[in-house]
Amino acid sequence: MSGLGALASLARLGGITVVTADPAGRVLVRSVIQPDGDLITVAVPDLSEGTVERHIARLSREVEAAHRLRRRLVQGLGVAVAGAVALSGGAMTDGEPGTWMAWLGGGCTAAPCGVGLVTLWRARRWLRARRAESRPRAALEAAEGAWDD
Amino acid sequence: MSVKERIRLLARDLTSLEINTIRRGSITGESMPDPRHALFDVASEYNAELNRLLRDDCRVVAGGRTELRCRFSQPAYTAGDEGLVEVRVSDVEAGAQGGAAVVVRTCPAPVFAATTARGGARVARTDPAPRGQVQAACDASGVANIPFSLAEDDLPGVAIEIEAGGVRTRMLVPLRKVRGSLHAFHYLNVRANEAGDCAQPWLARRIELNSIRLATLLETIEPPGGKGCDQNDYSRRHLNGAAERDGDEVREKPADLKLSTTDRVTLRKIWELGCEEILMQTLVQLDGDVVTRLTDDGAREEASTMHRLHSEGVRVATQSWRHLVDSLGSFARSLFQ
Repeated sequence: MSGLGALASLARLGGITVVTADPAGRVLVRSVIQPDGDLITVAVPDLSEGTVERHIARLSREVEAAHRLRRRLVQGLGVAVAGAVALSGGAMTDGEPGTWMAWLGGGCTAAPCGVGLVTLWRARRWLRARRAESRPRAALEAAEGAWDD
Repeated sequence: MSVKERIRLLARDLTSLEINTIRRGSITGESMPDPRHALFDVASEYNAELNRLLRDDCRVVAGGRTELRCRFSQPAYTAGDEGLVEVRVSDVEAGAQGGAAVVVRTCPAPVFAATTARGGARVARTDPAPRGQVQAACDASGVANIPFSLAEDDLPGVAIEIEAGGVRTRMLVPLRKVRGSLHAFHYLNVRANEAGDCAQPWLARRIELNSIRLATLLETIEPPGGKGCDQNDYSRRHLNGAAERDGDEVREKPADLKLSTTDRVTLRKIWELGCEEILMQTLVQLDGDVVTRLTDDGAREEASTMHRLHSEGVRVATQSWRHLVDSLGSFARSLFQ
């Protein structure tokens, strides 16, 4: 799941779910990170060390990806709130100073938001390219019996 | 929920972290479904576990010199069924009371009627009058098997009231199936609360607490275009937008349940945990306290892979927690910069 997907899942369903299955499709481990940070992990009794390693590596990646995007969004949100405050301050003030304040607040909000959107768009494109690259590799690993640990 | 309450909840969530590791024979990879389906899943699972736990449950009530021992003849019933309740009447000194008169009444499930919101709840509970009184006399061994019948429209919470020798008791009728409704969660709460000694007391306690949490949650939710609360009394087929039987009219899926984020997280935790026993649990507090609990199985050396999974889980969860606090900090900083 990409960072964007992880964040969407976090918002919609209330958690990030990471599932590790064997090539036959049998689910071996399932972890859910709740929005407040609590973690629930369900595992089958015959779990191997290799599966634990792979699962934890994926879980860490998801947490990092979600954190990076959340940080950017939160920073953007802070700027947006600051801009909205400046705008409302301008609207409430009569005369020329109020109008200038409103323009200033609006400008301060729009510039970082634009940069943030471009960054998000580029990150998404990069993730898609990475996923397309990794697909044939995963298939090859499965064929070579990389799961049999 | 007030702003103060929200801040308090947020602070509580951010100052503690809980990591649970569960071992289960088979796992499904699916995430929590739509909240109405999730409530249905939770209620069904809790009901099945209670029926298993309380399969041979016998209610013992004493008053004065009389003692009653009551049990249902079957482990569970379906609405519309006929059943039997076995009542054993004895005197604490003289033993079995042959010929003692026993009265049994059927008490319908409580009614949750719309009311002005009080403490968040949008409904008030009233208990309808009992129906169908049956009187019987005990045989020589002090036992009476008294029939009762359930109506087709009986909801979870229907009970049998038994009276003999000046002693009275009320037993909830165990049901084979329940939906994720308000009635079902109140029924599960009372049933788990009344459970005597059972094989897994921790499970009865979990069912009792979580059922009342979910019932309270439903009581505060506004129904789609109606009065009272969203009682969520839908069959699985109705939730899927299918007809109840072949040839019936196809119904629309009910509107989404209006859950707040906090309620959604609560439901998700309850759904994820289900009735599984937690093998290992670690609680991390902001002040640095870390408490780890292991079951007997979890403490064995054979569970070393599970230990590794749990300790790695603790590491990732604390990392995620730190990130969460960092994000909130950077949000606050960006507001003041």
